[in-house]
Amino acid sequence: MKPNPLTDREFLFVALESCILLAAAACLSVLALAYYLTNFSEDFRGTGDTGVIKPLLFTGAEFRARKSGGTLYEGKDLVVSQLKGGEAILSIDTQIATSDFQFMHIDAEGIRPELKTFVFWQTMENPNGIFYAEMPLLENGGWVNLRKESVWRGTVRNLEIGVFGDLGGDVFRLRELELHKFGIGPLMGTLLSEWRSFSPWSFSSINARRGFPEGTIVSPVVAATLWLLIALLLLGVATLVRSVSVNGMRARLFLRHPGAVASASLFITWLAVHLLWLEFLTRQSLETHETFGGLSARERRAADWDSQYFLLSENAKRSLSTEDLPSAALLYIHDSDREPSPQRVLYHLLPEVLIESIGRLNEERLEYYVSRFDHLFVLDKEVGRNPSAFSDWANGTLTNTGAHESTLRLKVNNSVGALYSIERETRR
Amino acid sequence: MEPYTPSREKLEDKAYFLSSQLNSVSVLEVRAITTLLGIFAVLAPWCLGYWLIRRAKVRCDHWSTQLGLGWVLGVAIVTFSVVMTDVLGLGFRPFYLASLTGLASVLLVFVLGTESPPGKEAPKSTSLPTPQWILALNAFLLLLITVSLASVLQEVFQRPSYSWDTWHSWEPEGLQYIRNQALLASVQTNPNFGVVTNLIQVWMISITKTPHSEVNHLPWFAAFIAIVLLSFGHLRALYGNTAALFCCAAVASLPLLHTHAALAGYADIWVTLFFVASIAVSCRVTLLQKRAYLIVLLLSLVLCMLTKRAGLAVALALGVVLFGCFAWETLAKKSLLMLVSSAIVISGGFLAALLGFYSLDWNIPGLGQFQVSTSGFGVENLFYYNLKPAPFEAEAYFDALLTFDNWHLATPLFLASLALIATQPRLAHGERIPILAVIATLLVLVVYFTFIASGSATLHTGLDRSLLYVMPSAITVSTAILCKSLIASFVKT
Repeated sequence: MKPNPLTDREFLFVALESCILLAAAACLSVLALAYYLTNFSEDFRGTGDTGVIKPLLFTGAEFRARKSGGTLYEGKDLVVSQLKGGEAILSIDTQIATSDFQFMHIDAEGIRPELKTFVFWQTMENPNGIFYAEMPLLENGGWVNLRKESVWRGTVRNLEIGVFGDLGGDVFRLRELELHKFGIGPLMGTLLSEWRSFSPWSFSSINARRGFPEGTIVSPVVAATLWLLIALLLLGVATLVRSVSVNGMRARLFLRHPGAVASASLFITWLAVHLLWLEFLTRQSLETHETFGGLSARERRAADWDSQYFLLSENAKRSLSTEDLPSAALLYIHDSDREPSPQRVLYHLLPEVLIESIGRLNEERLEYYVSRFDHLFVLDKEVGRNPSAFSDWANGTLTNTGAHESTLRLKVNNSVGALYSIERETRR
Repeated sequence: MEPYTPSREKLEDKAYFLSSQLNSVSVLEVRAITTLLGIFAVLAPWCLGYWLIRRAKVRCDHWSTQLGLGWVLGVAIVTFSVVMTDVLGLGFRPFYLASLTGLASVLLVFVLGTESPPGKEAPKSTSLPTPQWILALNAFLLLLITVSLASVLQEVFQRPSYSWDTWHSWEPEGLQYIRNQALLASVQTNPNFGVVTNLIQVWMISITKTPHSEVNHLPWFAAFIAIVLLSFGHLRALYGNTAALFCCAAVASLPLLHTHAALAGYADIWVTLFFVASIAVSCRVTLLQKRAYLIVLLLSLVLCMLTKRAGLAVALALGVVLFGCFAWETLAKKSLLMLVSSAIVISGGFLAALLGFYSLDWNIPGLGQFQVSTSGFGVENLFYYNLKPAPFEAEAYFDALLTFDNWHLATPLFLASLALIATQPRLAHGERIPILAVIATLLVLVVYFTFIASGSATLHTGLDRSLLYVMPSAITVSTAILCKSLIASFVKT
């Protein structure tokens, strides 16, 4: 049997009903979350009972630059135009009872993935300790849950904003910093800041997408699921009520298609979660385009996270291009260099050059590598900077050992390592 | 066959440094040529596969299903060509690859057949008539899908090989195949026995002539599209365009699926594709009446097994479910009883050996010893799993399924569909297979992460990636069940 389709008018009713339902469910969900947090959560228990406390506002102009390469005041804003040693510290002396405030809102401009922003504070009770919370990575600042790290305790005597990384030719503009007590507005602001906080692809991105930073009040998926469940519960109740009073005009108009309303609610909640992901994806696309857009294949690889290793490999390939399928061994000196650089070099060198062995270099193993291979890569920043010192040491060590007289001759080097070819002469 | 000796001559294509050699050609032109070659390397086997599926006259299929299955056949053809080129010692030259692709296609023309034997027709579509709101909704869903695909494609084209195991394990192995012009890798980089990923990589490099080009990752994006198309086709046949587009948009919205397409190089998206394809083929028609479907199903399962170790387990779980379902539908009660009894005896014997009542140690010619004991089970030269039982990590599963944003709301949707199923007296053929396949695979994952890779569930490294195999199918079947209930409620009203 074919179902009756919804007319356009019925669809509008369905869409409207699901929006009303979801709005009501959203209000209930937020109230339920606030109730849960202020009564059962360790971080926020009792924070709802502290009475009315006005937000505490500091404009950018009230801060002073404790460390920076260049700052200026523009109206009520403090503008950092240059960093000093990759950082700027903006400071303000104050006296704040931490129990009065649980959330912080920072209005700033110029925050980007290459520029980490932290809030630091010192307390009267622990004058030598420095505590901090990381700002969510949002373009115009955002909200911070100060209770997240369990260090927002005592009386704060000094607040600082630390900016670290690369301004990328832009400026960091601090407009204002505002402290809030627990409330629905700050809670919603913090949730959205946490869910929208951006962090570019990392190596573990292929394993999981968390969708929120560690220590977030609630995951967006859990929140959306609860939101949908409450909406469906409300729909069930409304349908039940409607079936009781069938005679009224209202009953004839509303909730004629509860199944369609449920489906629309599901669609809207799914869309809400998906929009968060699309926002991430869009920002990631911009990031990727900024890093690799408009470059040639070689330039793109040179712009990647291991550019120096790639360039060393490229030079090595050119240097060995006259040989027939050259192979080599790759040595590192410090255990900390065991991964990932050697594997990355192996990857860059293929298919023209094959790294047949990767190992740690020491005096005893040197002879083995020299007798077995024609080329040696040594991945070490010291060796890269001063390759002749290494070949002098190696040649000296080899002089008295082995059946062959072998000499290391430098082929290429850069700041991360060097490639040596091994010249052998049979002893008479 | 003569032992293979690599030589510079066999690396006939000096164009590995294409950009440096073609000094007269601008960087932009080189990139355009490489991109065009990459697109051709994907489209050629895909079109061939699509043509073969269409030629087999599987009439009940929508073009989307045919296209999705076409890419699976395309991958099978690519795999065959590369392996045969190696077996014949020809080197991975485009001419030989093309010739063997042609040969594979001719073989498939005969194997798949050209006519659909008389059998059950596919269920008629019960799509809703289309008033304007449906057209608007469809357009919006299409826009969502397009935005998702475009964002991922941009990443594929611009980002050099990024994800860890890609450049650490998979691609160095494939690049050694290219270096040796044979399926030989003297330096072991890949601990997984899977080969499909590397064979696809070899195919792409052989056509594009650039071993490190981002364009070589296009097949991963094609796998993503094929998964989306198969999800669309499945729902389109049952409930029309809007339901299909919703399902398609939901599958195309999965963040971890995006990640595996955008940061291409891992094998998991291929296991997902073969899983989805196997279900798409098997759940809509009575399989045994369609030879072409049976062949595609077998190819999907074999490719799934060859993709990575986890694919072997997934394919086995899927195979057992499919065999069980078809036996349930086709066998007489007596035979069915015998089959069930045999299955209980075999699995009971296996379990008893694992529990230590005795141990099994059989020699399988060509493979090695098949061993089952309290310490583990496996086949000597193929795989061996050590048993390390650990407590069930409920929190890790909760995070992976419900807390993390890998699947949006797919888990609640699937749970809701299971609840709806409980209220229905009898499941249709097209619902039973995907539901059971998803549940069986989830069970296999739980067993694996509890008894074999104990502890690794909490790291989220394998668990989330394993869930990727089943989530698109879980969404597809959940959407189908919700649509069924929705239509039933419409009929009532």
